[in-house]
Amino acid sequence: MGNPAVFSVAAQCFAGMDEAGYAELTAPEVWEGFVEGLGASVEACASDGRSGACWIDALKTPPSFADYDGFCRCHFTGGLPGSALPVESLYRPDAAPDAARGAGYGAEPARYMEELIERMGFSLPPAYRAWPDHLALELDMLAVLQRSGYESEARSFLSERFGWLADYRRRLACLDDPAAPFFVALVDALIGVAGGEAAKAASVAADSCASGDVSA
Amino acid sequence: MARYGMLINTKKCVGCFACRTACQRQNDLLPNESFIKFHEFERGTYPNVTIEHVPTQCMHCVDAPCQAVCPTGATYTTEDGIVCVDHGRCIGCKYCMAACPYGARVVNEETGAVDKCRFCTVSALDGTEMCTCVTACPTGVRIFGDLDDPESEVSKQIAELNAQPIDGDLTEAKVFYVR
Amino acid sequence: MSENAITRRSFLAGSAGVAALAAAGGYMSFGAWKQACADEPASDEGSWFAYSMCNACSSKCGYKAYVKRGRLSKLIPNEYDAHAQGKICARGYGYPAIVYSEDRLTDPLKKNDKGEFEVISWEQAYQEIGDKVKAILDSDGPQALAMVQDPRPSGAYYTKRFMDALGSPNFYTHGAACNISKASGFSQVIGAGDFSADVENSKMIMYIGRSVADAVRPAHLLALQKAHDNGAKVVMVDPRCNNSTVFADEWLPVNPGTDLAFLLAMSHVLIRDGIYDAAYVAENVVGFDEFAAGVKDCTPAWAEAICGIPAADIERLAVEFSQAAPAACIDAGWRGAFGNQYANSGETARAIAVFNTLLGCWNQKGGALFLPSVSAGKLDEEKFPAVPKPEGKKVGSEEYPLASSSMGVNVFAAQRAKEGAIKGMFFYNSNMVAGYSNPVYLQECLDALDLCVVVDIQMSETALCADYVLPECSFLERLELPAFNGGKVPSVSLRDKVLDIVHPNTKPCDEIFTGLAEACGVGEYFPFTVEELADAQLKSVGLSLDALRKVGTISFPEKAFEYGKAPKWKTPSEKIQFVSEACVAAGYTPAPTWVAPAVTPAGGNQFRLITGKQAMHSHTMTANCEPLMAITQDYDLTRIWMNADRAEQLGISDGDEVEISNDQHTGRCRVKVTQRLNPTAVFLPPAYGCSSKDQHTAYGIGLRSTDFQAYQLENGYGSTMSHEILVTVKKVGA
Repeated sequence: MGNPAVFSVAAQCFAGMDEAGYAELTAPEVWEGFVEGLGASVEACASDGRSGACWIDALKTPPSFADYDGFCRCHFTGGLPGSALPVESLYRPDAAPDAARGAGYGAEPARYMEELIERMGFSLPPAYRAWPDHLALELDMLAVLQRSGYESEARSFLSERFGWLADYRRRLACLDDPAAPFFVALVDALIGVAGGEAAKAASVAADSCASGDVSA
Repeated sequence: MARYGMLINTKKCVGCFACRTACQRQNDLLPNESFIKFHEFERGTYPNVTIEHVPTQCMHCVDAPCQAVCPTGATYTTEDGIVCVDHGRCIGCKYCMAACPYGARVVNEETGAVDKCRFCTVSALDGTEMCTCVTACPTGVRIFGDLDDPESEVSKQIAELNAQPIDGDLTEAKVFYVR
Repeated sequence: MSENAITRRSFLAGSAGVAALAAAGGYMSFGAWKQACADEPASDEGSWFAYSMCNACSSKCGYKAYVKRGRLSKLIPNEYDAHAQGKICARGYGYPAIVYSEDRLTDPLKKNDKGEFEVISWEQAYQEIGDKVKAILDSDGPQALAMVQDPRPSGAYYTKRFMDALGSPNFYTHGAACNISKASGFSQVIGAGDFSADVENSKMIMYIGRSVADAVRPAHLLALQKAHDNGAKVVMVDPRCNNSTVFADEWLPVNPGTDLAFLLAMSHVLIRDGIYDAAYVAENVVGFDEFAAGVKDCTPAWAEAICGIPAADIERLAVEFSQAAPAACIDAGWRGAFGNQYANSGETARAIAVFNTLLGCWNQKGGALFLPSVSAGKLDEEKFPAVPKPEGKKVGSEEYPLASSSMGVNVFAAQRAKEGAIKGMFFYNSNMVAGYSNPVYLQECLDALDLCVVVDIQMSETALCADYVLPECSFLERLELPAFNGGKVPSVSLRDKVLDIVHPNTKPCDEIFTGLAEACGVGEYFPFTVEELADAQLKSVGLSLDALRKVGTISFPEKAFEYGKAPKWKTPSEKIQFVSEACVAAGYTPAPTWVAPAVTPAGGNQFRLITGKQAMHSHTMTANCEPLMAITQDYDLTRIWMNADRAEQLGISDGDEVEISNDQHTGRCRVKVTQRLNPTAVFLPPAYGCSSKDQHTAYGIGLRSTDFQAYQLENGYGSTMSHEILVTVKKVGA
């Protein structure tokens, strides 16, 4: 599967950070370990032997803080044409590519995550009240399960929870933003880790998005 | 045991769609999933025109054709004559949709189950004691009750207004219309 | 990769990064969770409720809203609410879906150099807006600021107080695009902007351009049905055979814009035949003789040629009215026909008030009533300091002197922005650009501003023009000030907070305007919370917030209406004025006489474009709401209506795609060929044609009547004349 540290770092990337936090996270000693760890995770999970070469280059050099922050300000907010919030309820699961767009905030995945967080003895951070099914929390939950020794639970969570990333990738790949390739690559890697079905759906998705496809 | 049915008096219907959205909200349906369909008729020529709005839905037929074709037994009829759908058993084959002569069955796009009007006689904390569409209708188009009880409001009104099924004896429907 | 303090950071588990090992039961897979949910019997266990009020239209019907597991579940209309009376309409049940819409704005936004919106903090938004407001105040004074809002209980209070505190008189409602001509015309005659027909007790009731089954306020619809069941004569005057005609005895398909001729001719008959209430008129009216002289030649035959209603019907209806009087009247209407539609809307409103006076029906059972309402009394001045009344006159009040002063001519303020006189505008619960008049023109107006601030829950066309967009929480997530409703028994209803704030970075309007006031240096007028103010207002009338929270609506039986009491006429003469000096000053005749509409369709492929309501939409307010737009889609309700004979002449069949065009705009949609429409007009359903891509459900569906509407204002009254539109229609491909 993968290493909890990898999922935690990825979670932080989607959460939005201030300049100091971003500097710490993207300092070479942390970041190189992250990219390497992510590569290893994908490698371990790849069902068809595909390597992560196409995305790994885009991740090696993280965006400048200005670009990263600009991306978060324009795209990690709701109600705009450029909105690309990483919130599961807003996207289609890959099992249903023809289904209508996501059901709006607070759909089933959100209710599940809210309940799971409570069951695990945590409390939902206030900033995530509208979206307990935010990618940052889902990745965080995965890391916490691993660190806490719930190996099979972590596998179950990984297989159930990330099917929407193919649809989310489609959204990201259509954004015209200097930091978009970075986030697309990050999602590609996560799709790789989540493996199997999601990866296949993602390659279909990648082909179907004509513009801004950075990994093509 | 009762034999539930409904009266729909189209002379009072203004086609406002309140029953549709009320049904969706109270029964937690999807935005494009409606158990009630609307048919609008305009008669006469300008300026001597009359209009009629006819809402239709599951007629809760005796020996329901949708039930007869259901391969998994997901569609069944309760002792009280309400035709119901067990979502867990529905495989989404849509035979029922083809079999229903009233076009009353609708697919839930999220679950794939083929659903329909439930005669939602909810009696709950909120004091709801009647089908949602009946209580929601602002002009009192609908009456719900036990057709076997001659003293029930629905039975009395059906008799008084000579209400008839929407399409004769196409099926043995338990929804009656005044038109 | 090895773990360290940075990689172990967890949003859920803190720095330790491990599970607290749940007391509650630990991990559960999604599959197992779904099964558990499916197996759980449906019950209301664990649900609770609060009283709220709908926000889909300005009726604000009261209901009890249930919450289960933090999500909205059922709505039960409040039997005692003045407007709901135990029912809510299709919008009421459908509109709450907006709460979870993906199109909700989640953060304060600022337009950047590239013209795109980006997230800023509330602190930054307040700071920058405050600085810009102060700069405008320094350079141009408070006259250069304006506010437009569509009244809601808290919004009307806070936005007004905010503008008062800044010293600006430029406070506007949506009225100029809704009911300003009606309110202003009535005021000239009876000194009040509105009245209430006693429909349920009426022997004869006439609606002109008002359809209570299409623009539903349940109380109005219930009253119509009751009148019908009681055997009252119900007459519907409307170019469109609207859905209320189900309960009407007659439909009179008047030529749009000519209701005034019809009214003058009915008045002519009453006076000619001496069948008006002469005693009532003698006692209460000034200017009767001038009015009578003016309508001397307004014979039914004259009117027939203009309005298309047969002279014999006009004669007959006038006689029937006189026989039914005083338990008879013409309904006050809302927007339709004389709210803001035509060059003669204000004068039409005057003629209606005059006609009802001729019937002697004011405050008579079954007639037209002035119903009492209660308002909050004096509050503690320490806690709720009085704001000085702004000096100066509202922009537009000199140019449009008849316009209701409480409404004001909102779009004229925008015009003055384009001309450079207004520098800063605020919008609350208002989509002026799409809904009020020509969107291209209004966008240019707002683009000329130094500062444009829009408070909304989604990206409206107006918000797209803003420099700053401040996200409000939805109506179900906030407590508002009590709503005092007039009625036979006046009452007060509450919009309480039903749901926790969904998006944590959104705020209710009371907090937003308090924050803005502080940033603009006038925070001293806002040293209270909305709870404190609501409670104080209620205590001033002998109630409390706690008491109202428990029941949703409380009535004031001691203030109940009594039939027969003579109203106090708040006119200059303190009588009913068939003549008005103010109208003369604005260029009208002393008493209402015929004023032609601004345009007349030539026939052939030219039509007047009119609009109206469909029961499941309220203008642009509801178009982006999925359950409501789904109805539009299911029944193809964006189609433009065309009279069957005209369609046949033009070779147009039901369902054909047509091109509608004039010098303002060209657009395409399908046609509904119908017997239900006056042949001189096409009817374009409202609410559609959204041009904000950020509204995924509404965007690009149907056409918008304002696109075809030139920016023009009604003489004296200042309405946007929303039906003074000519278009040509042709079949696409023909």
